[in-house]
Amino acid sequence: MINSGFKSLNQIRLNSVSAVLATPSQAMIQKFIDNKSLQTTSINKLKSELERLYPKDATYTSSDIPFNIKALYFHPRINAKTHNEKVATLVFKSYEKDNLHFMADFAMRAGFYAGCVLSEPLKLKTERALRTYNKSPFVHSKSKQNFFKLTRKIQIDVFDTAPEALDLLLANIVKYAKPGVALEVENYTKQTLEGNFIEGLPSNKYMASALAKDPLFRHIKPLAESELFLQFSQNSNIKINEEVAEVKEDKKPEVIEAKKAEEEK
Amino acid sequence: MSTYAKLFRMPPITPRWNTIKDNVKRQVFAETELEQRTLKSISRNTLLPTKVRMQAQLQLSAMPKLSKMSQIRNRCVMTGTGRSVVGDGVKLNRIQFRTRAISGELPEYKIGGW
Repeated sequence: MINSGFKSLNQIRLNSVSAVLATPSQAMIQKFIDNKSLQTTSINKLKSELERLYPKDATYTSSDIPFNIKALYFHPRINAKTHNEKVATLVFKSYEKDNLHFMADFAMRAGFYAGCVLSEPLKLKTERALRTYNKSPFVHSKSKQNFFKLTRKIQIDVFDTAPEALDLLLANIVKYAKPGVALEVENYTKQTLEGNFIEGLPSNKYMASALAKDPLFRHIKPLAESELFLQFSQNSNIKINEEVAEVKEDKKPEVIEAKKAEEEK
Repeated sequence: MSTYAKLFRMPPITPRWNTIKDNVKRQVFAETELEQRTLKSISRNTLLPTKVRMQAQLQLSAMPKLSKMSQIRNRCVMTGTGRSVVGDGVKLNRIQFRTRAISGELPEYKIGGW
């Protein structure tokens, strides 16, 4: 009885659907066929191109592959150092290996064409976080479970590059980033004690010209050199520094003489 | 300016007295954080005269105990318990942490056997 009841229900549904649906017109069918043919042709073109670029048994000796893809079979190239000035350090971090090694390789290859001077990738020590917790409440504390977390790291040092080239590299890395990989960047600049840029260094070459063009810096520079700023600085800090300097000068010879006397004895 | 005490997200369970109390402390500290930091920096600065330093210290000690950073305690985000909270980016109790790590919601943690 129950089975027969279900059958009848299904039949009713099917009949109702067929009645509601309108029969497709000839134009609709033609459009569908045209779209399908277009799709098949485009897919076939793509397939043929992919087979040409990435053949199944491809090696670096095969002649069909273009040069930029053939370079992937070799070790990434490195630009030569000129000043040996460290500009930045890139540290890639992740919990898994595959994407981490890919991003390090990508950074080396992108850095070469951006004009950066990179060192070879250096594997840092893995951070381990071990945790043990009870499987159950306090009473059954003998049965425990261990969890561990490993963070792999790869460091790449950057030498002798202009900040524009470094920005280009970082923008490329961020654009084609893989999931689960973090990037930590430390950027260094060298300046004199007076705050001036050093001539000749690649990191300062573009920075000095950019600051000269900056309207805010042009507005502040005469203020910093004016007498008002000097008076303000004298009132606040220099008094204390002078006292300290006087004390040091007085104490220095006494200490030296006492030491000399001890050594002679 | 980065704050030490970010606002405590109330757990999705029915609120208990402990969670409400902790939430109030965090909000009060976030309001008076700038005052506390400035007074502390003045009182610790050895270059300033002693009178000013003492005055700043008195003002700091006159503030209510409820608004201090030391009164805040990290709590589980899901259950609201204050005990055995896993730190280091995971704001969960050990029981909640274990269930999530086994099911795979925390992919960085793996089960170890030794």
